[in-house]
Amino acid sequence: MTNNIVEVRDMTVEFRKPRGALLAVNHVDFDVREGCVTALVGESGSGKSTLAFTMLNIVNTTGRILSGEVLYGGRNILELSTEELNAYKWKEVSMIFQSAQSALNPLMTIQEHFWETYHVHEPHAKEEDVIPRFRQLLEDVRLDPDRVLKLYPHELSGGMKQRVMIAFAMLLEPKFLILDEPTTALDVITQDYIFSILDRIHQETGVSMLLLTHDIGVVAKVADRIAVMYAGRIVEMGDIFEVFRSTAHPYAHALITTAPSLLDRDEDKEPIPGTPPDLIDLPAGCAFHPRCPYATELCRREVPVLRTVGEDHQAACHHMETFRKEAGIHG
Amino acid sequence: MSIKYLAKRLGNALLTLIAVTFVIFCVLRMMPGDILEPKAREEAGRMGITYEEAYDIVASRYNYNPHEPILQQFTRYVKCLLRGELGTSMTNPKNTVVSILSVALPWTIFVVSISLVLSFVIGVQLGAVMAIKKKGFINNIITFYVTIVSTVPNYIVAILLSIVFVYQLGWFPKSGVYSIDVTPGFNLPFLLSALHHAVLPIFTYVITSTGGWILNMKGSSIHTLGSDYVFAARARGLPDSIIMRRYMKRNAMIPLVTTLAMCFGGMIGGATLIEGQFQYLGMGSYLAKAQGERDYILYQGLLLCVSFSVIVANLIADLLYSKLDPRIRLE
Repeated sequence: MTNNIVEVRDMTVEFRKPRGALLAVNHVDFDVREGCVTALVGESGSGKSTLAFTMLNIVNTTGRILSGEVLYGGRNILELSTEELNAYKWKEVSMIFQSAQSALNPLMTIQEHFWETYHVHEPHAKEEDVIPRFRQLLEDVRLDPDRVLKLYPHELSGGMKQRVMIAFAMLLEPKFLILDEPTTALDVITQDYIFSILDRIHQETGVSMLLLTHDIGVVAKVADRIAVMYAGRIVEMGDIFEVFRSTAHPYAHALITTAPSLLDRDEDKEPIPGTPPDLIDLPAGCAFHPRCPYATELCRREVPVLRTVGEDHQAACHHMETFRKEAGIHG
Repeated sequence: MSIKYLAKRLGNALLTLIAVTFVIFCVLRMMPGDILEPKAREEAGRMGITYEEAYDIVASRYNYNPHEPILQQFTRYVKCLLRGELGTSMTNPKNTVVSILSVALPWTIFVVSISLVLSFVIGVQLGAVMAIKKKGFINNIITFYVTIVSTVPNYIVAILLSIVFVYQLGWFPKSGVYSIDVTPGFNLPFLLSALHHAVLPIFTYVITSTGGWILNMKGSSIHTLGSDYVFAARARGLPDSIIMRRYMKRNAMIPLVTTLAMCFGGMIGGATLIEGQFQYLGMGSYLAKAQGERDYILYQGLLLCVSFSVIVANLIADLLYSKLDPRIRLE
């Protein structure tokens, strides 16, 4: 039986906006399996980044964690002191940001960045002793350390910056790596290259990974498990094969089947009707009901809870049986 | 930094200086009214001679030939400049403009540079504090102070200070730049005396200009705090002290350096009222005097010197900028 490296329990994060409170994450329970690549999928604004940020306790100052805990190694990291939390960050769990292009201080060279973070976590280390490690990390992402260590962020190309961030994330040999849309803003060739590097790192180090993306194609290729988020809630999660083969939530199904592919014709794709909900003024009941062809009175009234539908497979839909029958999916 | 870049910058500065020389000369000659006319009328009335006779007498006394063609005046002026001379005062032919500058400029630079450094340093520190502690006691006090100071003109502050500290308490001298009983040179009594005379002008500058720096730095810091690299630095577990110093302050200060240079140049000529209030014989006092007496030669010499300071300050800012920000290091 595999263990969970991080367990999020009953997490709720609220952002106060002039129009009212916005629940970016709404009573979410979520586990990340040790040694696995878990994909967290959802459209922009579904709360996947905010959920990931709670695992490092770095939710923006405008956001507030209303309830919940994040368990790592038996401790709730939301209750750590500032020093304990700083020691936990990057050493245990590190992250590659969606905004990797601007995640480095423009006034510092790559080596200064690496050394600064290393030194903060290992105060007794000497710079000349760890430079070989910096070089190795950069070589692992196919960068020339002689050149790159001395460069400033603006002197790197987009793809190089992303690889520097990968090397940087592995600096302290974390056990868990969060990848927040790691290939946004990169061209497809570079995207593929980045994923091959990440895949190799996963194979070699066994680091657990959480991949935040809306690219179903990538998920199918690299992930072991998947969780689908909609309007701050997880609507379906489980083993990647189970979820792909016997999808139980209409939204997850739509997300998977609308993914572009080279094999079918684009005209056959049905876009998901409607628009994502207004998070400040969520529809009552199931948040997906205004866009769902199977919605009934029950959906408008009650929020569906996650139900176990397979060995490693849960979904939150009142009408999953009806939906599966009509969509021709076998449970 | 390449020689080419430096040469280009110097060339630009020189071109600006030439243009400024020309403009100052033209503008002063274009001012309406004949400077000798009122004096000649007065003289004619007093001595009981004809206006034409009086005009010639006044003209001979004034070291200025009003009948000289303008083009000839200009060529003479330029030739003079090329020899490094700025002519002699029209009202007092014994004083060359260079000798007046050599007396006035050092004192103004002395006061202005100390004031600027003090207000910049204080402003940057307080602005940063305000950005970090968005709400709270300190913030309210500083906001209150800035509001008051930015609505009161600086010469009012000068008047208040001189009433309290010069005339009531008698702590500081009424006029001058150093006492007559010290010998100018690099000795302690002289330096102390010079400082003693400069305290109130400096204090006036610092009180009135710190507010601007605080607000500038606060805005710039808040902008920097919202940047991706500060967020990423938090995720790496860097302590707040490092983030504030190396990430927020260093980045937020860069745009302020340009303003600093411009201020320095501007303050060289701009403090007429402050210097006047404390009878501090610097550039401002002489500018006011030259303007009042319509001493064109002195006035254009002083203005040229002010422009020269602005140009040099900007040149220094340009060069400094490339040292502070690696992104500007290219030409």
